[in-house]
Amino acid sequence: MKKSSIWFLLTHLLTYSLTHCLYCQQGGKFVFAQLKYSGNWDPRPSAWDRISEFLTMSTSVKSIQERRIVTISDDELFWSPFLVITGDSDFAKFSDDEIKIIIRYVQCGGMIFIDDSSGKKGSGFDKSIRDMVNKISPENPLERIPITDAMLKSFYLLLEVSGRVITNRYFEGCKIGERYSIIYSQNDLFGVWEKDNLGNYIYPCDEKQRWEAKKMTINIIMYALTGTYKSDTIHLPFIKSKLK
Amino acid sequence: MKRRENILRAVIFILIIFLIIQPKKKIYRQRNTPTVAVLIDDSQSMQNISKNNFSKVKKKIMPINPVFFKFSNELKNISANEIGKLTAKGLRTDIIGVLEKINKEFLGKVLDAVILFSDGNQNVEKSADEVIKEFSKLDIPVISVVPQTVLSQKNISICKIDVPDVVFRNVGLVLSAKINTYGFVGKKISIFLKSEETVLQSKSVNIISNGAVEVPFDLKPEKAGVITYSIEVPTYSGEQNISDNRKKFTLNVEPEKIRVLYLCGQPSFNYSFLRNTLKNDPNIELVSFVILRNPENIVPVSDSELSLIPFPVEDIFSKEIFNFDLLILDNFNYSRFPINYQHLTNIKNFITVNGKSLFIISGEIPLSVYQNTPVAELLPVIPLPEIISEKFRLAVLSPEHGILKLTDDESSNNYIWKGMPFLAGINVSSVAEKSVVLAKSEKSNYPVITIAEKGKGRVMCITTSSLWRLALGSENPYNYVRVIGQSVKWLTNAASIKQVVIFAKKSYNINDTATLKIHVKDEYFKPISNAFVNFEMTVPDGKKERIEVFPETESGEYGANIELNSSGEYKIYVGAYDKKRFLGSDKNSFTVFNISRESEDTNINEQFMKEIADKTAGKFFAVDNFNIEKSDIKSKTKKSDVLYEINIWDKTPLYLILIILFAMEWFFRRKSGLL
Repeated sequence: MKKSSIWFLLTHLLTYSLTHCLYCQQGGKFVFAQLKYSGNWDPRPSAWDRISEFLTMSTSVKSIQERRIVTISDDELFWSPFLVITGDSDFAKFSDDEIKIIIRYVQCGGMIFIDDSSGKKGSGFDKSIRDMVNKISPENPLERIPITDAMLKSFYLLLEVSGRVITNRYFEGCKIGERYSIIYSQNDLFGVWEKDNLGNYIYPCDEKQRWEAKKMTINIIMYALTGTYKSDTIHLPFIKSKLK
Repeated sequence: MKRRENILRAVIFILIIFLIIQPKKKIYRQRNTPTVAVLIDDSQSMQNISKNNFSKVKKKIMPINPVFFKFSNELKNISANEIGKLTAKGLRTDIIGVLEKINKEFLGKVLDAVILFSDGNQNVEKSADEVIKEFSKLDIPVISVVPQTVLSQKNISICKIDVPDVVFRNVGLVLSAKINTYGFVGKKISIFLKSEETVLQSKSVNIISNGAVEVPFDLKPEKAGVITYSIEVPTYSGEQNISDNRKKFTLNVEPEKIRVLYLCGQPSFNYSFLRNTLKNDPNIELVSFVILRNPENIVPVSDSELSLIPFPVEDIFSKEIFNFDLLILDNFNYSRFPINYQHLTNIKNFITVNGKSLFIISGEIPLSVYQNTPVAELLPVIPLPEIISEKFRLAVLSPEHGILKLTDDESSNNYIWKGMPFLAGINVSSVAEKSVVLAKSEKSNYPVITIAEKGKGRVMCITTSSLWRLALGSENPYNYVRVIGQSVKWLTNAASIKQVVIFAKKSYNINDTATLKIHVKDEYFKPISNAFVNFEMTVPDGKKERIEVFPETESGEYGANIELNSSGEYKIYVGAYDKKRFLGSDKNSFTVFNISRESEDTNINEQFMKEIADKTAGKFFAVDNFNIEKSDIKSKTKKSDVLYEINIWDKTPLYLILIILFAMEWFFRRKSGLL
């Protein structure tokens, strides 16, 4: 057998074992999958570590500690129904085949959360994302998510959206069926979680605003896991009395 | 010259107008005697009363020289001489149909009256009101003549109970009991609607005349399933037969919506997919609780800032559970809540005694937490505390089972299942007694989808929390929707959530026509009106017949009328396709009893015969009192027969004249130099 063939086999065996291992960890746990694309795809690399810690501490959600970095063509994409896309600058357009995969992902029950880390209106990332979303969901374009939506009460009762910066006082989303399958924030939500090795927040922000943004992050994960549960009739009187 | 041309043109113009409208001259024949049709009922129910009565009628009617017809469910013209030889052999009585036929096919005779001689036992199901109303507009009185009964026994009998084909729980319905009375005129009788021995409703009826009286009852079934009711009349003094004072009937009550209670131990993708699927099903009413926070979780805010609500353990497990049809326990560790032994016993009773269903899913929590509890007796598997995180494909053992059947074609179904995505994580278990493994792990052989019947109810167990992969990991997410939908359908045994449903009565009498309805819907339960419906029927002698079925309305309803000429059990299978996509199938069966409608009710229905007479401005007689003079039949001289019509406009010479006139007009114009 040639050296190259052995190398090929070993590489595939290793890839298979690694992915197999990832699947094995999953069980019924929440997986934070993040999309790697040709651009600055990871401006907030340590956010998930902090989110995961807080999520496990404050809720009954069981999650896999490691975030899963996936590309559109990875099979692993379809092992996580929650996909995060972050960035702060424009990126190369997805090919038609890649768009088709994302369409399939959303239509088959996946949810995408997009966070513009630039915190600026009309950023390059914003333009690229809007172009992509128009192709993914032409029939259900981005719309403002009302503050009465289940997303703002899926765990914490929130009256407004937050983030590291308040670029918009709303999130946008594409509603497919009864829930938003694509959620778009321009407020750099993950920026509030980033810390350096000494445990200091990297990006300055008003602490109350930071806290509200953290609660919003948990609500988005809860929304991905429970859908419009908090809009069920049984919850309404409780929520109404609490909001008073 | 000009005047001559103008006259010529005017003549041509008039001729053309006449050619277009073609007026006719009618020559009428004046009549002095009325034209009367006599309709004689020769159905089997007239057997005991016919011979003398037929001759009596003939004798009394002959002076007006009527046109005779005999009828049962068909109408046939007969001569006066044939009346004496008439034998009552007709299998059905269709008075309404016959009146309709007389209206449509014999109006050329311009009838002055109809004499209807019958016992009034209409037993072909038709709406009488519309036909009688239409007939009354024709100004043709119907003289109703009923025979004298040989047996005029004093009796009250419940002869027929009409119930709707489809009955839903908590939806009101009206059922109608037809009660025949003889010898109780002027009396008040009580009628009861009972469920087993409990009186649900009672009615009092004043008997005005002998014959049938319809008594309506309003009913709202509160439980789903097959429920037996009865209509009863107490025994009154002098009754000849008391066995016919009670008649039982059953209603197959469908749940109006399947009520599902979904309890989930933690937010998960499995919960998200399953909840979303159930929530989108219009036939399901979902109440779900998911535990968002456990006591060990620390939330640095006050309770008022959280959307959490208390989990009402006592309410759910003591009372509310019994209002549901299906309980789903997903990754739910009962020991973390104040759920006691009695609560778990209630779950067991909910299934085994109340006939409801349980769908149990293991996730992070192995099903072994239920060991030594009443719930363990319900499980179709014997679970171990071990959860292995293997990646596996499903090996489907019973692809033909209603839960796993994704297409009607066996090989296509196997192909679809083989192509299903990998799942991950499995609660190790072995199969419990009297349980059926529908699918197992291809790798480790542990059961994954297992079902069992427990007492009156059904249980389904899924030992992986990654079933959602059938949606996200698959090319076709609807396969997941179908599996879940079909699971709920199997668990609750409900017709109302089937995509293809046959509606048929459970029993018929011989020679009846069964009117079957088929409802076809797509995955989203939207009616499909252009589906291909494959309808197969197995008749009592075992032969299979294929019947063509066509859409009846725009709302996905298809129908078939089947003549039931032999008694026994009929089995029906229906499969529906939208283009080549299999939508679903349904089976049903009904029994045909060897009792003809004619022998079922041999009493005279005076009331119906009176109704026909009254609404058509006719008169009602018993045959002995019948007198043609008293019938007030008058011939309508104004509406005499047309003897002949004169129509000169279809004659050839006329066209020749027209051509000549045109030619002359042309000639004169040419001569005057006008061309």
